[in-house]
Amino acid sequence: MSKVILKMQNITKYIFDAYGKPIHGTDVKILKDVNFDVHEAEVHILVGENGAGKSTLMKILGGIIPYDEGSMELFGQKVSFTNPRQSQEMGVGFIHQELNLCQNLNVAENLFLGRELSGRVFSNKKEMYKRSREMLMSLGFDIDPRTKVKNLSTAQQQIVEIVKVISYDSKLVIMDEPTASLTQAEIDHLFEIIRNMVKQGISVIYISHRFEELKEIGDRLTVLRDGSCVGTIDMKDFDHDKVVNMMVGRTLTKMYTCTHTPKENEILRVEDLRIGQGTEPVNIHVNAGEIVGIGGLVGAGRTELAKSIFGARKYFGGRITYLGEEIHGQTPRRMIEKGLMYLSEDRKIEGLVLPMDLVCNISLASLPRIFKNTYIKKDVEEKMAREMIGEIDVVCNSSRQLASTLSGGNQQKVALAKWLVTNPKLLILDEPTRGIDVNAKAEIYEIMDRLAGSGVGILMISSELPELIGMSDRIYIMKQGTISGELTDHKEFRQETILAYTI
Amino acid sequence: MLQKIKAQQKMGMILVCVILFVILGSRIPNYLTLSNILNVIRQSAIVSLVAYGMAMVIIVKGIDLSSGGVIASCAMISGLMMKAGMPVPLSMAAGLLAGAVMGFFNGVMVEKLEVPAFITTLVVGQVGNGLALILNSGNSLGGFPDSYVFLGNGAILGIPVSDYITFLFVIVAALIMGRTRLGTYIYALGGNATVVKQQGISSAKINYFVFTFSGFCAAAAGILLSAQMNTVHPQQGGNYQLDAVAASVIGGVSMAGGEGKVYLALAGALVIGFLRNALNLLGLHPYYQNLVVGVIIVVVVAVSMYSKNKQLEADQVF
Repeated sequence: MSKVILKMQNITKYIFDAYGKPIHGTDVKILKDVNFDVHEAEVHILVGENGAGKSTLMKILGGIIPYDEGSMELFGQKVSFTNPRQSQEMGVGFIHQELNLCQNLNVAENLFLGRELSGRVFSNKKEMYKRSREMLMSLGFDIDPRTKVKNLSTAQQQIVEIVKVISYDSKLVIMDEPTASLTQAEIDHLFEIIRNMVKQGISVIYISHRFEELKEIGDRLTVLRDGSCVGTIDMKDFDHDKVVNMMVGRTLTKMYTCTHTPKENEILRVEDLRIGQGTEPVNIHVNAGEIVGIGGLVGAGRTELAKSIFGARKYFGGRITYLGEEIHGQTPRRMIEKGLMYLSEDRKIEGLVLPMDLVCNISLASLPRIFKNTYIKKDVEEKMAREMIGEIDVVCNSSRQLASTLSGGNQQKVALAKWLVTNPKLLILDEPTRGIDVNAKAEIYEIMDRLAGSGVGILMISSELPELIGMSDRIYIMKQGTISGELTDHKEFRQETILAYTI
Repeated sequence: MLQKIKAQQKMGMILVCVILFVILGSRIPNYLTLSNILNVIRQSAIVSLVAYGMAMVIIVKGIDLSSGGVIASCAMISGLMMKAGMPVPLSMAAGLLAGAVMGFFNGVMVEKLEVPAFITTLVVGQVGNGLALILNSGNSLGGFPDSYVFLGNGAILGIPVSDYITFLFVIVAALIMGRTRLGTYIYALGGNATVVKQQGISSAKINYFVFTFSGFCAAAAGILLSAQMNTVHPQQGGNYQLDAVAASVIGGVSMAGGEGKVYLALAGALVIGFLRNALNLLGLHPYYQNLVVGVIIVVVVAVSMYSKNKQLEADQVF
């Protein structure tokens, strides 16, 4: 048995906001008594659904956020990091999914950033290029260190990041979904590199969704679910179904309301739509009163599809028929007039005007419709907003409080309310329940069900499988910019089936 | 592939410039003579000096709108000291120091108080303009020592001293940007501030340096301008900061930060200079010159942004 280099015991973390600060008044735990250890020179795989707590656990190890309870022992030393530098100096290298490189600098400059070789005045570029070259070549990566990082492919950038992390004498390297955007050949190369690292005594924590590759690279595997550690298994005992069961394993609670029945008449039909140059065409349709789910991994093109339909993004050919008429050159404004709304993925950036009050946020999208002659009647606006706040039960002190002061769930409701007052016929919801608590989720599901019952078509993009299964009448799954599967029968709505289409 | 397109774009720009140059040269007598070229460089020296600092500030995602005020006030300080009988080098050093201090102040405001660069530099520029008026009760100042006037109007080996000065500055600035670790940090900060922080590099030092350097360059421009005119006018600052922004952008400095070369800012200043010179020699009224120069800048910026967006669109992968 090889040496244990990392031992995380009973790690607990309470829910925190975007700035890493705890949220007052809640005791929701995103990590519950997690035990996790890593041996010397092993590849330890970490799997779990979105929101299971993988990233949070790794951020704690990387010193990006502190843990609240428990203990962490690294290389036999008790540690509690308060910033990423401490973790780095202990020999932990963190390769983030969104790579941490300066795109505008060249490879060598990135590798030596912060520790340049320098003479009295000028940097010693020659030596830096030479050493960069050696570092790159040692991983069998033949590339000119003078190349700007932005001119490299994602795979190449990843390798640069790995080279950088190794050059800091990292003994434990965290890789967060390194293969998410790589081709098979590139993945093979990456695995070659990982095996080399292990030979040099480096341990790797490897986060991935791609089952087929895990067996090839991993030594042990730990499954996280809902912030708890479900178990750790040896990769010799790896069994696809068993691991999926460990990942899924939860009983679907009575969160989902489903009283609506889809109608026959079609609202939206998308034919041969290409969301990118060289992606396969997309064909989907939505009926009135129907909730259609779109599953798939982040980056599969789901948001791009939604924005293409909404007119907020250019697409590359295809036909969109909405309410029986073919539409061309759509813009968000025209689509809103026609009753097609898109609730964006990020409420704080694209959904709400945070420094404005609730009334203004709610009436924002319907001002031209209600107040035809420019002048805004404040009392009419206020009345409309108050009605909506009551209808969907936004918890707030006053209708004039700023949107930024609400909790995430209530912000999401306000963002939704903005579209509801415009009487939508088709609603596209992009991750409607991301980052909000269970109660707010259930309330949003109820609103969705009510809307569908009144004949509104809903297209719901979601990364949360239980939500897709619980709410959808039909599910499309997207992969690499196109639809990889369609599930029409409720009996087929199983997490295993959906996962099979996504990865 | 991408690099190829970029290289082609760059070649295209250069080609357009060369063709324009040749056409104008064949149409306008005396346009392509050595003395006219050196003279244009001399006239462009003021804008280009400001542009070196400006380019650095824009590369770290800032902007320096104080240059006009610095140009006026620092030249006024130097001028008053010379008039009071102080030695020329000391007076100039005082003016340059004043510019550096004003720039440093901008840096502190941006770094410590997180005031947007655009606001703090605009205010400092106003203060500078006000100072220039107060210091000499709104009057111009003239009749400086010969050695000072020589800086602006003299020539060594047939080349104006102003040209040497602007070339000296661009060499120093280009070496800083290209050959020192500070230069790498300046690009890094503009490219990805998070990485810089995680690498344990102090963004404070970078910001302080960049803004101080910009103030210093503006002060140098102000002093050179007054030497060329043999006068300090309290409102000589004019809109040099905007010309410098234009020169930087024409030279390919990205307003989004992280990209650009200081020596191309000089090229941008020269493009504007040669254009104005040609319009002058063609006898176009100065009012219309501004119009033409403005239109050209808008077109250049629009074309570069358009092709950049096209590129981003085409590069998206799923």
